[in-house]
Amino acid sequence: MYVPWLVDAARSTGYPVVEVAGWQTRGHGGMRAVEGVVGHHTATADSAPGDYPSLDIVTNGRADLAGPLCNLGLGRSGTIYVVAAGCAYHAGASRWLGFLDLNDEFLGIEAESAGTGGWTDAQLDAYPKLVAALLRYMSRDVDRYAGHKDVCVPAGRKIDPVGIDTEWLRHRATTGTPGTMGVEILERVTVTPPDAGEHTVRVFLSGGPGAAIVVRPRLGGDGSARPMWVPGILAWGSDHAGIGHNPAQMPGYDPKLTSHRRYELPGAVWADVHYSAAEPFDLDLVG
Amino acid sequence: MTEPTKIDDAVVYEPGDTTPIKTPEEWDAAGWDADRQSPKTLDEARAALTARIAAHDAPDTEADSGAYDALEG
Repeated sequence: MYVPWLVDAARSTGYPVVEVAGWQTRGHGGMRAVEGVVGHHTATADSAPGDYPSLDIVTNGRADLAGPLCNLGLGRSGTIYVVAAGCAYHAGASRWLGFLDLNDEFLGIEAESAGTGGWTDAQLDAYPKLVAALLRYMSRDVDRYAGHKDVCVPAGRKIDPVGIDTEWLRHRATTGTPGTMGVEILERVTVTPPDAGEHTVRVFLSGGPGAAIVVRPRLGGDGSARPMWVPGILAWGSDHAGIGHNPAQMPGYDPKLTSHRRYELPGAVWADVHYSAAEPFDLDLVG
Repeated sequence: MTEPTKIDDAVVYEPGDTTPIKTPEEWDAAGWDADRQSPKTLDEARAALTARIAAHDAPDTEADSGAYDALEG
């Protein structure tokens, strides 16, 4: 199969997305199934100019290695490049969780990094969001992410992605599906909008470092959610400290939601959520 | 922020683009993975690896040829 939703999953992260022409049919044949995600770094030198200088290689390959070499690329700016919907040669000899030879069962992300552990702030934010989005679209939990270093055989053959700890990424890539690590729902609040205009609801949070809100549009009978908008969240650590958090200031923030989204509000004890929604929705308050 | 890499014939979506995004539920309802296959057996994995090693543009090497000989650790 050729995975048709890569662009939608990538766009749901809120980061810019580039469709590389022909991605829909690019691959060494189709995927057998889509069971998880393997993370890589490109190992291209930091001196190479631009946002994603490895794009040509991961798309077309090298003289000794036919492309595509990944399904998605991640640029220095956090921009996501959708390269191939079919099987990409990214994992080589590999086995994990009982799966063998993962290329046509696991999607591969090649993130732009020289392999010395250097990552931009945008990449550290976007990489787990991209993994979370892909896992959400394939209905798999966060334990279906691994680094190439975790799945290669013989063991120790690969080291990528250097500087991206697998457990750290899984924690950050919280998908909100059952069994997800690091999620403790303290309370679920149902919000019933008085009308489709813009309104504000105030919620109270734990004040802990993991405090967050998950906004959940409700699914209709046809399995789809009507879009809603969250143009801003203003959260405060305390009435006295007066230090605010506004996720809307994050790079690539998109106020439009068509599925649930988590907003990190570390240290917040209360938050004003500005929203526009035509139908009731839920807010999960996370500790 | 670094500008996205420029490429020919690319479609670019900036944040805030209003082009609709289909949800996972919508894709599931459309049966996107209706033709999914079972995971590879050990013999199929060995055959796939052998084929890549034999190919002139193979991503794997002779050093990996015994990759599936041992049980998973």
